[in-house]
Amino acid sequence: MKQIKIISIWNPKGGQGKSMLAINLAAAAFELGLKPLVVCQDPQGTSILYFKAGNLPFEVMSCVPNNRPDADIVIFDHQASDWEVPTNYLLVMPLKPARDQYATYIDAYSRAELLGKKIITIVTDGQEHRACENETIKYLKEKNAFIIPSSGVFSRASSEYLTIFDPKMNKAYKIKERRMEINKILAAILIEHK
Amino acid sequence: MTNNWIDEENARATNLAKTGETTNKNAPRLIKNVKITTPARKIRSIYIQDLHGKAFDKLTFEQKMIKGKKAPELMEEAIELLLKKYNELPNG
Repeated sequence: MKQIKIISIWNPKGGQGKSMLAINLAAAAFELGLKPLVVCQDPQGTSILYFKAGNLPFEVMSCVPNNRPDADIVIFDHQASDWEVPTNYLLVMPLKPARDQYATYIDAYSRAELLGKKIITIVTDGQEHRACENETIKYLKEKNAFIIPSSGVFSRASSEYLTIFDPKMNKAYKIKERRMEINKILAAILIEHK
Repeated sequence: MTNNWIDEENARATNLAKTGETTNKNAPRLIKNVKITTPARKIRSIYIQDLHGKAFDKLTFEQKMIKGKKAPELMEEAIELLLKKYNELPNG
């Protein structure tokens, strides 16, 4: 029986990029020849909306499947305000670099750390030209966080419910850099094991 | 200067994590309605020797005592090992 990699995209703060990461990591996994499955755990159903738009080459389920899914990687897209640390080992925590966003992230991070979770931090929507954000980005980079800068690529993709790996996005400005960043995060996820 | 606030937030979060509380402990918390579902199973009868049956009963009893796997899960584990040995993959 094949091993299924399970990851949770989690941060109780809303608007940090959980669903964006869930669907784009799944798309990166698909590009790599893996079979991803996204399990949307959010009543807002952002990942579900992407799936219903019909552009995703992988499945998004609205709840945990009853039977073992035929997938290589299962990505749980958690909802905002969820303070329960996910039960699986590997957590991906996106955050924006402003202080109030960081405060919630570090609260949740500390809880997960106490439970021995492996946490991959992603700084999303950062604007390095802003001194205060740059300091936070630098600090988190030193802590091995991945950085996805603020970019029009994501809003352009979301306007058509696409992932950034969709061929329609091939000519978007700095698309290669954005894809590379997501691919790097996926690589870190795939090599991680308990 | 920024690092000062990061240190402040880190210290606050570390203390908070120890208590298990949130910053606003009086705010209503999201309660998840987690439905625990088990996979669909059917009864399958097989003929086995009594000594194997008794050994399996003993194993399931011991697992039950330590709140380990139950009989259907243990049987599935045994079948999976068997399938692996003979290079067969379960469908679905």
